[in-house]
Amino acid sequence: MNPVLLGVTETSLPPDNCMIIVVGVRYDEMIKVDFRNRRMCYGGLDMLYLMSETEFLHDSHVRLEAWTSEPPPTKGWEEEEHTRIRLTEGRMYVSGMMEFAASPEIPTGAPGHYHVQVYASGRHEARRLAFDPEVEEIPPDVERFLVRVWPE
Amino acid sequence: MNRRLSIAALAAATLVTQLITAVPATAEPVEQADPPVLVISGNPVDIPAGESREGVIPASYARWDGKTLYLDPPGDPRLAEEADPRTRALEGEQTAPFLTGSPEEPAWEEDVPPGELTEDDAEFTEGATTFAQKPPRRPSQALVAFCKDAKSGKYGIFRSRFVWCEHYVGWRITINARTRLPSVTLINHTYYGFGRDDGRRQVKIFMKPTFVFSIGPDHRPSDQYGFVPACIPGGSTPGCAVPTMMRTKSLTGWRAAIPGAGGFVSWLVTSDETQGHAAEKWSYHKIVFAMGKSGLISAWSSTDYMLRCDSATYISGARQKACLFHDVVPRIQYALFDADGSRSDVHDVANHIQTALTQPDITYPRESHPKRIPGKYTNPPDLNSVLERVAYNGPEWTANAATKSRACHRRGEYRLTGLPGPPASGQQCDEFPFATTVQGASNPSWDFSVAWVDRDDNHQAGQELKAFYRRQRILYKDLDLFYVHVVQKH
Repeated sequence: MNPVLLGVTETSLPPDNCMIIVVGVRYDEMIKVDFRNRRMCYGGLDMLYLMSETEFLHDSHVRLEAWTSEPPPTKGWEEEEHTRIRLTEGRMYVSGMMEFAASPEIPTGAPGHYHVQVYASGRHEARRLAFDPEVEEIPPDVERFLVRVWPE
Repeated sequence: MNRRLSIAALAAATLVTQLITAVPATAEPVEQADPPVLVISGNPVDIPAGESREGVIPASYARWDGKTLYLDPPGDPRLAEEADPRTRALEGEQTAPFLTGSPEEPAWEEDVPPGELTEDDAEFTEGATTFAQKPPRRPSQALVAFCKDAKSGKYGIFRSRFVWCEHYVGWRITINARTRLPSVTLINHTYYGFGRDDGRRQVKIFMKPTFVFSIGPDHRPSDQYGFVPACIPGGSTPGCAVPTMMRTKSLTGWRAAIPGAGGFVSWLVTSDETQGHAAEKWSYHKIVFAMGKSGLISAWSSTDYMLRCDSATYISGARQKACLFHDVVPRIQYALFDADGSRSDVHDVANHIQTALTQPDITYPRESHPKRIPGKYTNPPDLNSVLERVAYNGPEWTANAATKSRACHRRGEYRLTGLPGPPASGQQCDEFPFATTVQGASNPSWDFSVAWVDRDDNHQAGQELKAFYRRQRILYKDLDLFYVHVVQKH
């Protein structure tokens, strides 16, 4: 069967400690990861971390897509990584550091394990701009993430 | 007074003022056994023939020497000027600190049962060290052993803001109407309290007797004694209730409840969200304890215990409603080294915070005045040096982040005094106090520090701070406070 896009949402928000959090609606606890792996994304129970390259104030753009099966590849991104998450309930959204919902929820399908594909662009450019003495502020959305999930 | 000795020797008490004024003014003093059977705050108490006195008191304030019951209650806090919840918490912390956020804190798995997960989820549950906390079916033997050995503070013994215990003595003295011989009944018991953050504004209180003693002509093994907690209005906000009744057994029944892992009785304390305050719908409730014979209670404990209940939506997901024990101060602990002496995974951040707190003048940005950086955990804690949480992406957070950026890049007002660069590969700029605090870099009343630290350490420390806020339920601004404790080793 051809993959069908079940839902999409996007938002811009500032990473905190280089981290953006995407959650399943039933998330409860932060996931423990080994940051020495230097990954761009880490998945776990009802939670996904997206890692920014810069610790300085800037807004990153996140687009979250839910598919029925593996979607076709997309081009124009600088980096790509994969991970897994388990969703207790089939809905996700971008979280404002677990303090508020930073995007609307999207349906993902049945509860269970999901494959996660993360594309990113501008992560290193954002860090370069942070250290550029000619740049007062990092422009919004220089750093961009595309997150696509589908059931395993 | 030695707590262990007093527990072993038995003890008791209650509202002293109520006890004393309960004696009828016309009653003739009765010559009682010498020495007196009851001494309160050093003063012998005459109990008229045919009358009884009873009460409950934390065990550390009572001593029974086989003939006399000595009670040294700390005074009735309801009669004294009310301390605000933060001041109370600092007093509690001073007398019974706990290691919140510490790897030394054991997982009370029986007390804080994790969510039900299958083996298939093992990969994803490794990091979920705690889930929303809820009361256990009964206190674990590990907790019972911990409470038995722990030193009680002014407001009891704390494992965390969600796990509390305190040893009590219930006592009753009756002077026989004819012979004037005293009868003494003592019931040592321990209360175990569990807050919860699983979406219910409740606390569950368990009680188990540890020793039952009775002597004299006016007691019978079939005498019925009951125990119950209650909400009190003084210094509290409305909405607290104990919907369950007094738990009553005969002396024989209470004695039978002592051995083994069972024998607990329990109550729920509930908090009405609709009577809460502000956006968090916060409430502060005080609870006390009582013992009564045959369903009658004459006095309540003179020590009360503060609960905080709230419905803060920013403690999100399933944890938007909760109650916890408030008489102790949270602190996040960062260790420089692991137990085996190796570098901890937050080493650079711990080292930076330690320098900021102990040698602020050598930190960046340099200042012409002696730098003052708050947040250091001390005992007693310093109410003038606390950290208070602010909202992510709120105005304070954004201002803190912007100020940090200028100090890290030697821009603006920090052009000459900011952090020298460039950083080594794999380093990031860390700031203290945290951007998520009122006391962060943009606060004009405090100084701050920035330093280059290992990026992995920075990520790990940031994640631990987020988890700490959530697990210890740190509310925004002056609704809460916390400290940072840097230790050498886990």
